[in-house]
Amino acid sequence: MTNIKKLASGLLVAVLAFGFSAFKNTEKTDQTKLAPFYYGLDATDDVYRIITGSPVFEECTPGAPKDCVLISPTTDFGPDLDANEEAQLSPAEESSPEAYYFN
Amino acid sequence: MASTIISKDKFQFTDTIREHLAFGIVLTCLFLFLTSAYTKIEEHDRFMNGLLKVAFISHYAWLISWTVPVAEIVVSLFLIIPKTHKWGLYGFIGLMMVFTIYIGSMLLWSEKLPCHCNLLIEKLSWGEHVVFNLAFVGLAAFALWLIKNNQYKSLIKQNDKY
Repeated sequence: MTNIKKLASGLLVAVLAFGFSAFKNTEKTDQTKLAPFYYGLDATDDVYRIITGSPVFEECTPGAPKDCVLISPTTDFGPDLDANEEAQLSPAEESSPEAYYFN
Repeated sequence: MASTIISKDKFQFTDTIREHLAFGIVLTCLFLFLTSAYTKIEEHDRFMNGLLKVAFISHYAWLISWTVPVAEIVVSLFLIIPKTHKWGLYGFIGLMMVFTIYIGSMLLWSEKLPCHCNLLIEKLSWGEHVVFNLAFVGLAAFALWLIKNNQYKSLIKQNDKY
């Protein structure tokens, strides 16, 4: 393989890397526009509680049996989630696995 | 005796395979570092807020939050230019080792673990992150070995001509 081909391939991968990152970020912006409901895991009783305002994912502290923050794109399940409601929801995109939100 | 030599040769990579394999690894490392640098710059506030929460580096959070993505971009440039692939791989291994030591020290001493990873791997736990980093260090070291071996072989071929 010639050096020119290698250089071209490297530049192609660089463009792909930037394109791929940009594409993922656009998806995030669209989700924010839907104003979803976020539920954080409480360390006191392992129950998911509603997060008022935007979640601060840096607050996630490891050591929990479940995901830190769950997201409900449209439905408001009230202040707490029961087991059935919890099963319907999936972790928020930036949530840490096995971490508590409220300590 | 002859049959032993032939079977041994079967398991050896040809020069072309070595070159392609090493180049594939270089491109993978390049993709990883560029997506990582892009995310750190695009979400710079989030990255810096995470660093501010780490006690022993919080004073240098601003400096680190810019140094890390810039270093990743510089290493990526080395990985793009064919003549500097080897130095790019050395830089990649060095930076990945620094990241791994940082994660290891956080796992050992820090109570809160902030998450500000590359979007490709932000779903990994911190333990999995260490394994991921070490796997990439191993991969880059393998690519370096392949490159050095190819250079050594071509040197022998050149000497044989004279």
